[in-house]
Amino acid sequence: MKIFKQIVAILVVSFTCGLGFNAFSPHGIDIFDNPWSKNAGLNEQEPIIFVEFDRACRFIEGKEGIILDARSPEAYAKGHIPGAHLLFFYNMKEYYQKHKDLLKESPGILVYCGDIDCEDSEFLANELFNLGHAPIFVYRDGFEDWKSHQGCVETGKEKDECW
Amino acid sequence: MLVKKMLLHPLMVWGYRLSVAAILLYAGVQKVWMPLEFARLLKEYHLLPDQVLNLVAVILPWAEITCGLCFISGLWLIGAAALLSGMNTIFAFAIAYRAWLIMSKTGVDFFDISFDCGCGFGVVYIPTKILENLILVGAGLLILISRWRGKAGSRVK
Repeated sequence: MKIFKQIVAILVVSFTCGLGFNAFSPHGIDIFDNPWSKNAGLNEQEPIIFVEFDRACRFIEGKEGIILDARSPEAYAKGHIPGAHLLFFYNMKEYYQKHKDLLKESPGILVYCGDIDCEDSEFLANELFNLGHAPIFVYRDGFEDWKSHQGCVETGKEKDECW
Repeated sequence: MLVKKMLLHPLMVWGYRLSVAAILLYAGVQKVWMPLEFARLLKEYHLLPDQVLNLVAVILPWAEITCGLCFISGLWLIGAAALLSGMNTIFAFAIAYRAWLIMSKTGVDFFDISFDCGCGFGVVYIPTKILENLILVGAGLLILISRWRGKAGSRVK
């Protein structure tokens, strides 16, 4: 019985401290807020901007920066947006190191993954933002949308993987 | 028997307590300063409804900090040890579940997966992380057992 009392006591302290600290912290958040939507961040002033096909095209044609494919190496090899670099989100340790210098020099980043339901581009964008890269454009509808607009598709592994 | 004695030796138990406290305090403090970022990492698990993500992101780091302080001070030690084991069991399952989702979605090998698990240590290799969580579960159980044995011993005397 004592164990449960102690657990409850720890949880009560955690709730009190958590809510109290959050209320006064400059980094405090609205605990009832739900900002986790792909419709958020359409504003170009945001460091992470969700864009659709037209804006993604302008980014690519205007060579505004590096294009990153957040999907798996297999999906990338089957087909990707021409010029896109593979940065598989679930093996950041390896792939980020590979593109670190390129990312630092790039004035902008365009990230995409499979389709509108895929979240990996969004996750990758957040991770890159935390690593100090900005601005980051997330091509919201992803590679399937690119193909549906008859966008060019490049196949094969990354050049430095082939050699 | 000797191993059991060694594992539950008071000095060893102090070692577990201090190591676990250091890990919990570091991890908790890292997350306290970036609740929004932590909430986003929690979202990636797809285990909690979006509506409670922010609340969990605000409370969980403080649960770690409180447990860490309990391990140092000795206050509510049994409760802290039970919470440590319980929380880390859940974390290990959650990380394994997410790794399984990634494997089934992308076909990537389990030993090649790395991501920021929201543990306060950045991007980590997942097999190592799961192992670390299981070690923490073990440490919590050892602290619990040592406490219970100590109590039982004092009652016999």
